[in-house]
Amino acid sequence: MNRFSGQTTRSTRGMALVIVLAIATALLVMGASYLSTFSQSRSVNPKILEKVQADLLATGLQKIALLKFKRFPEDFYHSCFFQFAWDDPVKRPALFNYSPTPLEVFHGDPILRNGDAAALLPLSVFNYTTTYRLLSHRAYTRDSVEILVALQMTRTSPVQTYALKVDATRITER
Amino acid sequence: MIMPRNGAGMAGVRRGTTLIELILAFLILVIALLSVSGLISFGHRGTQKDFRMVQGIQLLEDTMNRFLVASCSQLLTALPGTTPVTFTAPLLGIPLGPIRIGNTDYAVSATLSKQAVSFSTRELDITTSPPEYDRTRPATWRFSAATDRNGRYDGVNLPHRVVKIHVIVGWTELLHNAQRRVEAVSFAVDFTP
Repeated sequence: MNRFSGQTTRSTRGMALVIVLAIATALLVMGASYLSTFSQSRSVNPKILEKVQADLLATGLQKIALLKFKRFPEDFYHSCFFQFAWDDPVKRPALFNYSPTPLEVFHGDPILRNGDAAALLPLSVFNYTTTYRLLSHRAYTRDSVEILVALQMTRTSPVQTYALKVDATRITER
Repeated sequence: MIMPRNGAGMAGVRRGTTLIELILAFLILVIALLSVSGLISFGHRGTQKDFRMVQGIQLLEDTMNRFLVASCSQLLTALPGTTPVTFTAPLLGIPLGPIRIGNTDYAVSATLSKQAVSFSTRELDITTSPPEYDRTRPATWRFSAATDRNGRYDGVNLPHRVVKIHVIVGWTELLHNAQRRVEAVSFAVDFTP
């Protein structure tokens, strides 16, 4: 009888320690996973700020680009039609060779193309470009002009593209 | 007489060992709980800090969006000269200055300045175009050199039309009194003819 009891006691000896160690390990694992989740959420925050800064800046740049379009609609259309002909290998030989092309000049203002860093201070933007696209260009009918701002806040950030479409009506000259 | 294998003190030794085990186990459990609670507390403080940051960013976005939909001509009127002006009190109905959200005090300010811009184009030059000039045939077109002579919105050649908006939202962290701030830049444009 005693021999049997002694064997049982020996087999369960140290079980409390094992159980507590198991519980402590489980708690540590839970704590570690909590800390891991927390550290991941912290790394997301700067990205949120960066995205908001990019959104707001792009909106302002699109407005400036729209001001240019409204100021020089004829120059924009002439530049676009010349570019369409320039991109056509059949029509290109008959064209005068401009470098940069009229459309490249239209896209090339410092404020619209990362050339005026002082205007963006205190923000530091790695790179951005602004381009115009004439989406429908049947002569002397309704058009849709698209203003695209491609913006990269830092070297490692993804390039974010913002599009603003404007309906425009050209009136036939009489 | 039947003796236990390990002697008469065996039962007492077993009880004592169990007690030590329990004390040790309890100590280990307490140490583990303390470290985990410290970890959770650290995480909670970080979460609160992040929450304040997110609120600050939302306030920044909201304030800037209000400026972008405001009348730019009125913004230009609020700027007497070309030097930047910082506003820390409500302007055109846009809330600026101290704003309390939850138990955090945010300080919102906006610095506005007239932004000179110039636009360059190649103008269609009909005078140098060939005699067979046809407005539907680009081959007969001639363009001028790139010029910004008609596109200088600098307050001299043409009135300013662009306002640079710089919004700052600042707050103080409860722990260590650390100053935090988020900022954004954008532009408002006056499209009035």
